[in-house]
Order: sequence, then C-alpha cells, then structure tokens
Amino acid sequence: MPERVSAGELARLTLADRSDQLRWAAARLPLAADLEAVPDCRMASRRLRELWMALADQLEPHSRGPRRRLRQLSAELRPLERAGARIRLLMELLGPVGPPGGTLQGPSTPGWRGREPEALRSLLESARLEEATLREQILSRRLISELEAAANFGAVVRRDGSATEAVQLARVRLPVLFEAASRTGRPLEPSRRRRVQRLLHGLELFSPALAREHQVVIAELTSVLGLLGPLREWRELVEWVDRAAKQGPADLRPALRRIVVRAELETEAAQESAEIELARLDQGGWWRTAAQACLPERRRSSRAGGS
Amino acid sequence: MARADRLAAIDVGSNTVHLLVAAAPEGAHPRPLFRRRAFVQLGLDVAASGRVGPERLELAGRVLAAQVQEARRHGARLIAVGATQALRSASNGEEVAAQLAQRAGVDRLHILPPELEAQLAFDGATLGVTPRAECMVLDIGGASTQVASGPAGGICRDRSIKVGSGTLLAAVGGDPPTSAEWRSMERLVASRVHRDLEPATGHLVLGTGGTITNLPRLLGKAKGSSLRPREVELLLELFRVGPATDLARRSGVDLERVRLCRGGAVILAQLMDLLQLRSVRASERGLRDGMILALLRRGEGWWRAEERLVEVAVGAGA
Repeated sequence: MPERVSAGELARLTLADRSDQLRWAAARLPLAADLEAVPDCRMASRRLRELWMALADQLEPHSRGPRRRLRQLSAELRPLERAGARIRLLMELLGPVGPPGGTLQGPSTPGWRGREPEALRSLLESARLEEATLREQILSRRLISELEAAANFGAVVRRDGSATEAVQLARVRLPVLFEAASRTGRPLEPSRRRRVQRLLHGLELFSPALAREHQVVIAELTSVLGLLGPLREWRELVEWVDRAAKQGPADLRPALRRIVVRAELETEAAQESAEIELARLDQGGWWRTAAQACLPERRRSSRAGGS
Repeated sequence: MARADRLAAIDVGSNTVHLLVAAAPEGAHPRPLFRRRAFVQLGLDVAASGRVGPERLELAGRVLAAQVQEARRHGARLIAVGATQALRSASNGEEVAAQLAQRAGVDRLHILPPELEAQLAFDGATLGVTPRAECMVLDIGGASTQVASGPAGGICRDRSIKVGSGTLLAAVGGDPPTSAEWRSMERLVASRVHRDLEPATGHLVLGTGGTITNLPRLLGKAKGSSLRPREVELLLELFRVGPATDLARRSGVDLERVRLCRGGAVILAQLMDLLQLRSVRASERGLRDGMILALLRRGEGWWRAEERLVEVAVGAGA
C-alpha cells in the first residue's frame, strides 16, 4: 500500500531532492569533459518545474516567476546540449577505434572507404569547435548562478502546506498527463517525446503516494524515452552533416554525403525501434491500464461505483 | 587507293540508341565516320515496371530501323547491334531484342553480358593508349556503371554496378531536386556501389559514355576534357541551385542529356572518392568502338566472349 503523504509533505520532500539535483548538475556545467552535465541540468530543471507546476498550491504565490525563468535558462542550454549530442553520435559512428590522424586509410581497413576517415575527423573537429564556442557564449557565470539560485528555491514551500493527501493531487494531475502521453496523432513528433517525458516526471514526483505498480510503469516509460531521445538526436545529426556536405571542403563532400546516408540509416533503425515500442503500448490499451495501476484507490472506488 | 572497310555498331542502351559507323583501314585503328544518337530511354520503362512497354518498344524499333538503314547507306559491311543493362534486366528483354532485330532487319540483337560490355567499352576507350599501360575505364550508362581496369589492349577486371544516370533520373524527377531527393539519390548509389572497390592509384583513368563526356561541357569546358573531383562537386552545386533547363540553355547540351548528367555526376563523385581518383579524362571512344574492334577481330561472331574472357569469368565464378 502507498504511504499516506500529505501534499505539503510531498512538496517538502521532493523539493529538497530535486533542488539538490539541479544544484549539482549546474555545478558540473563548467566541466568541458563532462558531456552529460548539460543534459542532466536540463533534465533536473524539467523535473523541478514539473514539481512547481503539480504542487503549485503548496508553494508561495510568487513562485511563478522563477518557474518561467528556469524554463528560459534551460532553453538557453539547448544548443549546447545539441552540440554535445552531435559529438557523442559522431563518436558512435566512428566506433570503438576511430580513424587515425594524418593519413588516408586504404580499403583493407573494414568499414572505411575513400575519404570517410578524413571527413569524419573533420566533422568531429567542427562539432567540438562548435561546442567549445557555444560553451563560451552560453555558460556565463550569470547563467550558472541563476540556475543555482533557482535550485535554492526550496524555501518557498508554504508553512501552512495543505493537509490534502498527495494522492488526491495525483488523481487530478496524472490522468491529464497519461491522456496527453497517449495521444497518437503524429507518434514520433518531438511533442510526443515531451508528453511522455512529462508523464514520467509526474509519476516520479508522486511516487511516494502511488501504488507499487507505478514502478513498472516508470520502467516502461524510461525504456520508451530511451528510444525516442536518440531518434531526435540522429535526425538532428543528419541535418547537420547534410549542411556540412553542402558547405564543407569540396574534396570531402562525397564522403560526407555517404556519412549522411549512414546517419540516415541509424535514424531509421532508431525510428523503427521507437515505433515498435510505442505501437505495443498504443495498441494494447497500455496507457489506460497503466493509469489505473498507478492510482489503485481510484480504481477501487470506480469499481465500487460501477457495481 | 582502296576504300577502307566500313563497319557499324549500334548500342541499344538504357538512355539512347546510338550508331557509330567507322572506317577500318588495314593496319590502323578504326576511324569514326558517322555518329547518330536518339534518346529512347528504355531504362525508364524498366525502372518503372520491370519491362519495356509497347510504346517504348515501338519507338525503339523505329529508331533502330532508321539507324540500320543509315549504317547501310554509309556502306557498312557488317553491323553489330548490342543491348545493355535495360534489356538485361527487363523481364521481357529477350522478347524485345527479337522484335527489335526483326523490325530493324538484322539477324540478331545481342544482349551483352556485363563482363563483355565492360571489356568492349574498355577496348574501345583504351584504343590508342600505349599498349599494356595500366588503365581504368569508368562507363556510366543509363542503368548500370562499369568499372574496368587492366592493361590497355588486354583483358580487364570489371565491376558492374547496377545504377546509372537513368536509374537516378527515374528515381528522382524533381528539378532541381529537394534536399530529401538528393539524399535519396546518394542513398541509392551508396547501396549499389560495391564496398570493396580498390583505389586506382597509378592508372590512366578514362571516362566513357554520354554522361561523362558531356559533363565538362556543363562547366563551359570542351567536350571530352578531364574532370577533377572539385569540378564534379561544382557541377553538383549547379544542379542543386537551378533547373536543368538553365544548364542546358547555357551549355548548349540537350536537355535530356543534362537531366541524365545530374545522376551521372552523383555517381561519378562517389566513384572518384572511393577509387581515390585525382581526375578522369573523358574519352569519346567507348562501347561502340569496342564493338567495331570486335567486328574486325571476330567478324559476325563479334559478340562471343574471347576465350581469355571466358576463363576469367569462370575463374571469378569459382
């Protein structure tokens, strides 16, 4: 059985935790070698914002301003996150052993043909340069200190926090999120990923008040997001390399175009995996069942009402 | 002085039906006397439906009959008629070949196996090159591309790639193509080009076929000039920024040929990178010249693969 947690308690419990996560992620931002710092920071920011939204009644009224500001700060980090993802995917394309510097490889080296090694090296250098430039432009002292300030926002939980049970709030909030995440109009649009992500953050937030089964739901959503995230990144990489293939050095363009083809194939593989996984959930009525499993009391009462 | 023997070769390709009448003086290389070309584009039908349709067959029949008559008018003693990838891959290829031969009044239209096509194009393109000099011949046809290498005048090693300028034109009709269409062309080429093409360092590289020989003209160079990778990229940029009609108007090249050149440039750019070529010298000679040589050597049996060639093919198959 889930714990009986009041909304006020839940706000206090989770706010400290999520604020800490954002604080630590923000502290890692200046570390250039830490490619996960920016995505972690944006993730922590989203989780904190979800908390502020879902538990708005438990927070002091002036919390709205910081929420908007945190959203803006997180958006400022987005180009840097994209640049980091590009480097990661290019490294993935390069495989465990990248092409050596300086010389062209002959056909005896499996996997690399023509000037592909040079072209990949040139792409990787461009991606790193772009990331470094963005890092310098975006990661100002101001941005980091503002993120830290947002993370220290824990003091705004109302002292007279509501005694309403957290599960009551979850009953209002989660069905909306489940409904949004299950909408299939254009399944692989970025909005679907964001909707599934918001549902995940909502479930994590109300976790102490939910039935144990919600952990299974969280695991499923994490798995789906693990497929939708790379899909978006591969799509962006294809466009980026395609631009390079049009504007890069003429001698490298044929090889760059082959790399675009290779990245497109990776995108298709990612898309296929994501589509299969989402179709499994969409066609099997999973979203509805999952929503019921996470909110057991509601399920019991509705059964009672129906009989 | 006795008049030199006259021979003719007609190549029924995926894009064109092309006649060459040549004089064959004793002890000298055959000399081209007359050429005639018509765009029939059998390859478009084959790409769309896997077979040659009745309208295209009718057109090809008329063109071929006219060219045979023209060859005879020019005094050709023997006429070699051969077809390449379009009829090789058409489900009704044999039937079409028989009907065309009957319509044109020739004994037979031979559908050339890819290795024979490559050897003939190699022989034709390297005619006049110092014997035994290592050569590579790129022949970008309408539905296939041959990459042949070996000593001039000798047997070549051939890789036949099942993509040509017409294949790409059939796949992408946009003019200029959208970004996605360009990518689909690149993808088609990447999927068909063999992964194990060996770099052709130290070879004299010759390009043959209507596409390669006309590409330099689109850059304002003389027909048959050399092309470097940067120039091929420049051509691709020209195709990307404007319609083929603009290029045709500026260069004076037939619009149909310009449209075919777009796909040819995509293929050539990839081959030059994969084979690590610094330049390709476009050669006016090619398959038809090779057919004339074969007529000279073997007469009516021109289309029979030389024994050496058969051995090579059997060895490769084993």
